[in-house]
Amino acid sequence: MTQFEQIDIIPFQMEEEPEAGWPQLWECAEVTKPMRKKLIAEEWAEKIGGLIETFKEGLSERLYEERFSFLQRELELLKQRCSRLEELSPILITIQSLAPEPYEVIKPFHAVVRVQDQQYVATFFDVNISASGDTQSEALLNLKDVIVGAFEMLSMKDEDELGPGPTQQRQVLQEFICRKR
Amino acid sequence: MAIITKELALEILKKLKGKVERQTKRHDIASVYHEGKMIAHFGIRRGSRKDLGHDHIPEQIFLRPREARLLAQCPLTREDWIKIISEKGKV
Repeated sequence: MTQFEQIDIIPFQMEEEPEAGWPQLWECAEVTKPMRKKLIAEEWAEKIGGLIETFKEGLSERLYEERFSFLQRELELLKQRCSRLEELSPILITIQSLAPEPYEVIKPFHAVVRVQDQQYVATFFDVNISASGDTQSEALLNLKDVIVGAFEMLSMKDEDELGPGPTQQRQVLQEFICRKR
Repeated sequence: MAIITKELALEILKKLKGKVERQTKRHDIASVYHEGKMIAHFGIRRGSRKDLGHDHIPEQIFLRPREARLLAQCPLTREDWIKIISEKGKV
């Protein structure tokens, strides 16, 4: 085994006390090759601790950034889902007027507007009359229009011309709306 | 895209042998008769777009959207429809 190869394992061994009478390191005019290697290894040992610390700090900063951006992405997704749910949830609207139609509301009634396959459907459930629209307000306007049209059509019919559904619709509609005088 | 488009709504009207009885500013009001009595009616939106949404029609003819689509696209006949709504007490 060469001397050089022996030196490589020195940093990992406990340093032995120099024998009495041997010159101390600082007393040597010229540090021997194996000793110089030992010094470099000691410096490295010190530096490596610092490097590990720096690496740890960098890593924790990176982890923090990753977590933060993950949370930001999650928050954005939640916001999108919330607004989608708000859009999808049905809304209840009280109809107090049928303007511009020449009809008046005797008793305000509720219409439910809901989203169905990217369309809005407004329904007056008491009479089972519905209308569609590309927007909420269009669906509501269409509902008012259909209510008036259906009411006019049903009002002109004799009793024996109407089946059970339309008969009931006419009765209920008469409670809620009438033609303006 | 709506389940029932204007194109399908017109098919349903034809299939049920309905007729347009009244016209409003925004709709043609169509009604369907059985044995001389009106049993259902629904509005067909004015406009030239074939894809205009008519998803309100299924509930007005007492069907689920999928059934209404079948009615428009052939497998379900007027007689089948009469049978379905009779069971629901709508005739």
